[in-house]
Amino acid sequence: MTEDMRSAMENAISRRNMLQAAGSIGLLAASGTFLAACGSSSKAPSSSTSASNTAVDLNAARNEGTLVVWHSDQEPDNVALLAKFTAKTGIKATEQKISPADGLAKIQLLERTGTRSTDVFLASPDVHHQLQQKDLLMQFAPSELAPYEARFKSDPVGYWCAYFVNVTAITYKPDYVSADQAPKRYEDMLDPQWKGLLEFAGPTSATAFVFWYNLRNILPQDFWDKLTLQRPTAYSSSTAMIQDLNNQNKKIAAQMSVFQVTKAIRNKQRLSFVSDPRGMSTSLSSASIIKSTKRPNAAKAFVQYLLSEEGQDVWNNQIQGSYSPLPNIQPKELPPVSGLKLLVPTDMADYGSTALRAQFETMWSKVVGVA
Amino acid sequence: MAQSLTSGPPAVTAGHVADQPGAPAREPALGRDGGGGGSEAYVKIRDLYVQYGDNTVVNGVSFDVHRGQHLSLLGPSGCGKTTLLRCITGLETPVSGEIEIDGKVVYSSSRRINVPTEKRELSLMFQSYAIWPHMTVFDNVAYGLRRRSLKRGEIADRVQEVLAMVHMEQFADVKATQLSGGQQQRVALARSYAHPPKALLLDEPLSNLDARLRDQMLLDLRRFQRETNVTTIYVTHDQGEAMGLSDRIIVMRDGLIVQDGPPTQIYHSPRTRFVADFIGAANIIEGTECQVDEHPGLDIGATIVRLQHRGERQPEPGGRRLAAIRTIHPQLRRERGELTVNVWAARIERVTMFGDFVDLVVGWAGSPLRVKALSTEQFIEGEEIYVHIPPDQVVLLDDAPTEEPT
Amino acid sequence: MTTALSRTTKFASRRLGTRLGGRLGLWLLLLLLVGSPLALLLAMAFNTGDPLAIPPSHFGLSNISELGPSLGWIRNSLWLALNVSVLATLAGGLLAWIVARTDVPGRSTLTLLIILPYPMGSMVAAAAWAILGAKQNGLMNVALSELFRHHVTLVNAYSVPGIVMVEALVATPVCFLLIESALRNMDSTLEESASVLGSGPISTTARITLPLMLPSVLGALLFTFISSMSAFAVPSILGHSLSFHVATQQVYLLYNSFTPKYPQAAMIGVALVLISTVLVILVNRVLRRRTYAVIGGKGRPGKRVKLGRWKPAALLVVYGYIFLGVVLPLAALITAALQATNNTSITHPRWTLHNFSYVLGTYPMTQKAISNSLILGVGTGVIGVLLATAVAVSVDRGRRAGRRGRGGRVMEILTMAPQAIPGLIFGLAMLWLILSLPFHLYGSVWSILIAFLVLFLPLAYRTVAGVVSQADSSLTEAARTLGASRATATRTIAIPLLRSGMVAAAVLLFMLSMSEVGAAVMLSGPDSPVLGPTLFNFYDSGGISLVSALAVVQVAVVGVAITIVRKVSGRWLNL
Repeated sequence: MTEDMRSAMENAISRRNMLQAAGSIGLLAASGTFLAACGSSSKAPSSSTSASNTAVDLNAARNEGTLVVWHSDQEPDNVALLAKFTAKTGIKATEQKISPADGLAKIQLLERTGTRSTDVFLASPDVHHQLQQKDLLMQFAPSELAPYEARFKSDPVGYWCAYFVNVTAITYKPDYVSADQAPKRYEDMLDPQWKGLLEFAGPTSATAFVFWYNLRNILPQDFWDKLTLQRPTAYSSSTAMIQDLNNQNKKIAAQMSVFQVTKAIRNKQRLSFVSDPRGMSTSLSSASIIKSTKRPNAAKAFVQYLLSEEGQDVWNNQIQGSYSPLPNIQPKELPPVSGLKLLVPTDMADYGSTALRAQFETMWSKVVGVA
Repeated sequence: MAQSLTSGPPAVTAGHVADQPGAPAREPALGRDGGGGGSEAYVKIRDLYVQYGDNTVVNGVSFDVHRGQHLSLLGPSGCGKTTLLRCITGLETPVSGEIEIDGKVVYSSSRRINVPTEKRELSLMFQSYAIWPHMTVFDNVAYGLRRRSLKRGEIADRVQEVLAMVHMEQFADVKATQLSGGQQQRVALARSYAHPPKALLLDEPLSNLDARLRDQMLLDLRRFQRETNVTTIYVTHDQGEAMGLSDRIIVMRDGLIVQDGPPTQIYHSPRTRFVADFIGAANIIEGTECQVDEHPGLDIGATIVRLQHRGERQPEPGGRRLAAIRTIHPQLRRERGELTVNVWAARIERVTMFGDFVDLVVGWAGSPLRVKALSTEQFIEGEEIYVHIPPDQVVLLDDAPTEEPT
Repeated sequence: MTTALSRTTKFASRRLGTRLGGRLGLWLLLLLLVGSPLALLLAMAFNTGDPLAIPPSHFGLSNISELGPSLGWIRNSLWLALNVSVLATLAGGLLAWIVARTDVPGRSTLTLLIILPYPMGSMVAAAAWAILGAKQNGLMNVALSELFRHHVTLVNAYSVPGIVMVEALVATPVCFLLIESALRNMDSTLEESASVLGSGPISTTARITLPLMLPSVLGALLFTFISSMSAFAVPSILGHSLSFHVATQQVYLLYNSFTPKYPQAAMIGVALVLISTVLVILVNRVLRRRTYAVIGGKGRPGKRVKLGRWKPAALLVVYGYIFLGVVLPLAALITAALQATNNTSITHPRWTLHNFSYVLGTYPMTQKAISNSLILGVGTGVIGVLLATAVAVSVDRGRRAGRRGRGGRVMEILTMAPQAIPGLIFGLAMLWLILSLPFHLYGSVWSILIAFLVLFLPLAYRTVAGVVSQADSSLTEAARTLGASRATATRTIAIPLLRSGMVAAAVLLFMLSMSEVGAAVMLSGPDSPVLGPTLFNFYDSGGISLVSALAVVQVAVVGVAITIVRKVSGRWLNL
């Protein structure tokens, strides 16, 4: 009994001082004691639901019902993540794939009628920035956020935080395209041999938008017009892109998320990517909690888990295969991130501007021939 | 049991079969207390109006039916006869009026009474027979009995009994869909009577049958009537059916009663051109009423036809009148003989053979006269003959000539 | 006496009261279910204020001009729908004639196999043909190339003809069902009289049977046309690499735009609804001009044409369809589902059972989706048929009584209105309605159930109304005169008489709800996954081997469910 109380106190202290304690061992130990504390007694020292309070009542979380997580990633990946989370915490969770824009609209609409949408919303910083400004996000800044660089977090901290870095690259199957033949730079995709064989994301996709946003000032002005003449095809997901590369319906994926390369390597399949020396278009995927959630403890527990070093290892190294915002987490299948030049949007007000997005959607619809 | 009803002593006397001492088959639960029959009104209809929107279908009809009477409602389609029948059963609700059955008011607009169909204890045989295709003959007939929660054995006995009455006892287990039209009709009749109703209502019972079957069924229905002596109301547009099945006919037209009387009266003394035309075939002549040798006559221009006054209407010499001559009444002869009254020389213009009868068109007094004669008398077209119309067969009609153009 | 009188009076007024109440309730229900989503769709389309406002407050016509860029997509939709409906009606009609009117053996089994592609759904077909029909690596072309030792490109499913073919394969069973039941119920004396007059079997079929079948053929054409306009899964999966996009895809894109463009999406929806409304009116006008009283229960069942030496040809048609619609897709899906990679291969396969264990064990949505789909299928079937029967009886009673006829006609139009609404569009309208209501309906199975009920009401109504109008009201009236109350007459006469029609309609609704993707994809949430949308989402992220495993599971579930439904309803139904 005294042992339990001692560890509970330790737990509280350790989390309060987490700014200093950045090591993964400490984190894991904290999680362990945290679990033990909650398992033993409902009188855990952290039972407040105040938004800024970093404490999570796991016992209460388990009784809040099934946590709902909206995401726009690959469904099996999120299923695996939630399974790991449930195994660790005993909190039931379910996921739904929903596009960031759809999610954003639904959260606002459902908020108006006072009905529930989701508890945790995994989307992108621009979307989260809008929700933050409309005061629809809960501020929750656990100590796990400390190791994240400022560019990966909301300002003020605690509204959202990136949980993976979505690097995209020019990708091809070496079975069908030789390394010599493959484009080296973005402009190489304008070669007539790739006409009708290029894969891009669609006009509503964040990947396509961020590609244009990052490269619009780097690539020549006429790049987009010339690209239109190449008759590229729009895809709704990287899985569909892979499918068509496999089918040889297409040859080059211009903005493939590199986690597909990780997955291909894990599956003993060949998929190669090219890094343009001027930089790879990169976007962030971020996590947030909806302020009106009826499952605050479960939501906090999930975000805390996802952003913890353990969660990052599970998501990036074991499940999806992207680069983590945490520098010490790195999928072994990919080259070190330090060797890559990443182009990441930082000005959320500009990047998240609706007007800019609308301008892009119109332009991109023409490029990929869906207008 | 069945035997007693089919070939036992026929219940010819007035009164209900249940009151016959020789009818042991009737279960007490199924019987009706008779109370003697005769002249008292058993079904009373008073001032009945039925409207669909602006369309008045039954326009203030009143009549009584006596216990054990066999009444026909006769008229062309759309005259309101079927609607009237459905109002009596309660399947249709009138706008106003009153209906009383066996001393019990079942519908009254002023007293706001509307007894639902199933509580009126009548039964209706539909024109389509409405035999339920998803049941056997037995189940069809047993339906009304089962609604009255009788014992299983009682039901079986009674079903066999009524099926025997219509000679369908061997069909009890047959699916209703496998029956011919005539068989369906018999089953429908048995079903209507399985639980004896206060009155049996029949909507065009024979119209769906072919001619030979119709004659057979007509005879069967008459036998059934005699055996059961149940009060019946038929609806039909066929004068033959009406004449054959009923002891009283109400002729209807446009929602109104135009004539009410026994079949012979309706036939021989039509009161209007409509009745004369609709029941049997008649020649309608128009003329001025006059006196010929102290006898009433009708001056039709080319000649004067002697006639006899019947009915209520008083003679009005000098008035324009219509008269009807049934096609069977003119007598055609080759010799003038001793006849002096209503005899004219005439000419056979057309002969149409109909088996037992011939239909002749006779050129008479400047206009064609249709005559129906036995085919044993052979006339040829163009033959000069004499035609005699017995004065008592020239029936003055009530309606004025202008009322009936064409 | 007085008590008896007052009792009867009370009875009379109560009866009138419940009858009026029931009718009023039916009206309100129909207005709520059909009218309100449509009204909202219209309001959304003319919203010029905040695009996310539901319901909108500012209206104007400016959104109409936004249709301009969408015209190409709408044209593509119409082109696709035209090809699919013609092809499916031809195929369905031919199959129906062979099964219903010839002496082809094994009709009952054939019927089941011909129907199967429909409940399997367009999503399963799209996935299967994605595996089978790729130009280079498609299993069909690879297999043929191996066979001939020379590269052969027989099919390319990733093409407009490919999309048409796959859609038509899925739509054929509905056409088959609609035309087959009409053929089966046709009075054969009409054909016999033609034969007597010296017409050969082929000419009789062409001159007598076909024109008599016009109502059902047109009905099948119309239904397939409108449902193909709503086609979403197949063009998305097989059409993305082409520059062939259809209107529903654009609706989906607009809906998913950053700041969703609800008004523009609604405007396209309104345009599609308008187009199909015009078609419905045209078809009804054609049909009204030719009134046939031939399809009734009174005719003798048709004599079957002896195929003789044509039998192999007929068998080829039937088995060919079953091969393309069931066997080949299923084989492809099983092959893909058993492979370790998404690069499905029959030359260098790496076999595994992992995909099935994942789909059945690890993936938590499968079981939920299966049970939800079954609940939806049964729920839509039962409730939809009861609703359709209530409407049909009400309309029929009004028609017979002569009065209230106009009210009945309006009720019928309201009931049939959803046939002009593509599923995806209705799903969207329903979603907006739900998002604007303060009930916790969003993401629940109930929201999908309501949408399905409305969407499938026309088909249920049409199936049931046929039986209701045939079941002469004198049959229930006869029961009333024999002492049965209204309720007893309904229980003992009306329902048993309508049962076969009701069961047939319920089975049809069951199959429709198993396969509907468009409406469900808009409405299903994390608590309400259903098979179609789950498969669609899975396609985007699971990879073809997992999708195939899930599709195989879906087919198995549908197959088992249909078999059970057939067993259970077999007593009343000649499926």
